[in-house]
Amino acid sequence: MICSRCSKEIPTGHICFNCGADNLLLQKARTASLRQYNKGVAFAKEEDYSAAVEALKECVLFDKHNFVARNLLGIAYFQIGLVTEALKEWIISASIKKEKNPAQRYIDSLQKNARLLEKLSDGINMYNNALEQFKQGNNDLAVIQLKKAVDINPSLVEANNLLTAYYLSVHDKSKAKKTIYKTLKIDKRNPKALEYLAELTSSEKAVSGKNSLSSSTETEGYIENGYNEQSNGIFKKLISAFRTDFALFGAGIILTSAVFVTLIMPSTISNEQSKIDEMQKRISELEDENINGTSAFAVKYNNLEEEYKKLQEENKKYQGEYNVKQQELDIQTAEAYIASGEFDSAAELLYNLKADLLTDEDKINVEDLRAKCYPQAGETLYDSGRELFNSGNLAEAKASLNKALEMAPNENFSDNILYFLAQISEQEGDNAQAKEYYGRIVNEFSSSDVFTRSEQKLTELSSQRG
Amino acid sequence: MINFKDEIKKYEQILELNDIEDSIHSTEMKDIMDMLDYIVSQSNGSFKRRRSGADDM
Repeated sequence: MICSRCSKEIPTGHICFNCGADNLLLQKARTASLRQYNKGVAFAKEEDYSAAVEALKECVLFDKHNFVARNLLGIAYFQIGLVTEALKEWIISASIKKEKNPAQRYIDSLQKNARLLEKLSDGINMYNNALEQFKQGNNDLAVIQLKKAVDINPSLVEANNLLTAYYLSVHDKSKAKKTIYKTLKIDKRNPKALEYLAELTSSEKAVSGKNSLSSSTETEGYIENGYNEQSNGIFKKLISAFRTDFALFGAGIILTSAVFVTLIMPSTISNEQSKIDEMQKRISELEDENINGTSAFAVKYNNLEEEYKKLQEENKKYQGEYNVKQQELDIQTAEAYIASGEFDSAAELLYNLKADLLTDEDKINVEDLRAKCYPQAGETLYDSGRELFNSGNLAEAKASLNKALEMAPNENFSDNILYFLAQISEQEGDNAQAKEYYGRIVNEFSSSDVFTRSEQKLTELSSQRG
Repeated sequence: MINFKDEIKKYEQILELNDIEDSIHSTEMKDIMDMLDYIVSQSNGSFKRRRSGADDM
């Protein structure tokens, strides 16, 4: 005999020496598990999911490895809205048997449909909140939560049952009936729903004063047989009442439809057709206007565009006038600076003037003013450039010295400016530019104190290639 | 008609999505055979204890 738990051989008896399992008991447990599984399948086929859940729970209690039963248990839970319990069973099942197990497919499909899972889970969360609210006596809040729970997870039978219990407690029989009907539609023999139905029926009978004995028998019939249309119980009567109502409702719909089709519809159709014709005409008009550019929008757009262009031109004109005035003001200010000996400030203003905005008269005036202040300002810039060069700040030194050279090209320090600029160019590796500066010193400043050194440098750089 | 306060005692909280993992760990899958094994091991232990107590005397 082979041990059905550890697969080792059992030489004698039914107790495994390896794992200690009693194989007789094990066999009995498995048989019991199978029996409960078969019951569970039968209940599930009849859409009696509550009973299926109970049978399958017992089934896995007898044999925890029965993954098929766990899968079905998950499905039964899912049918009655308990998606989390379903997921739990499928996860356990998938962990018991990893390959060729549909549980993994169920889990995957739920995970792929994350929004649905979230929605159903929210329904459960709301049900839990509602139950808590009921326990705290906040019935109004609880009912709101519970209705939401049922809205977003309609198959959650426990929420429907709780709602039924509440409706019964507040004597709202019609709503109680509806929720019972909803529950039994999902879970045909849900015990709580059947209990509430019996409760509802007995109270209705008491009110209507009908034969208590027959009503009792019928109610009992419901409890025993559940939601069964073949049953002789009160539920059958309820169904037949619903059927009568539905039949009357259907007949009403047919009559109304006939009246609508023969009397109201033709005039409605003709009205609608004329409206359609009008609208089509209007559309074609608008299309024409759009093509020709005569539509209200096109005209407005063109006007606005023209206005915008005009404003842009005006703006340009005003900007030009402003700049001219600003330059005139700058010239006057520079004159004032020169008069007060502030040559650097005056030179700065005159340096930034734009020639194209100056009149011929202004140009002559500006040249005079520049001649008065540029040499001094150039010297200041030269001093500053030299200091920057000595501190190693070549970029700023170069900018300052270039400006100084521009303002004072022929002063007694201009040769030094050129010399520093040549040095900077050399350091930057721009030998051609350096040679140009040295050449200017040699050609233009023969008495310069840097003449000899510039000459040497020029020879030195000229002898180098590149 | 039903007594609602008594009725709601029949209802229990439903497992929520975030608690599934904990619930699986805490359940620690056991079937009837595991329980029987446990009962047998417990009774053997107490039998052995009783035996060793008797031997000591």
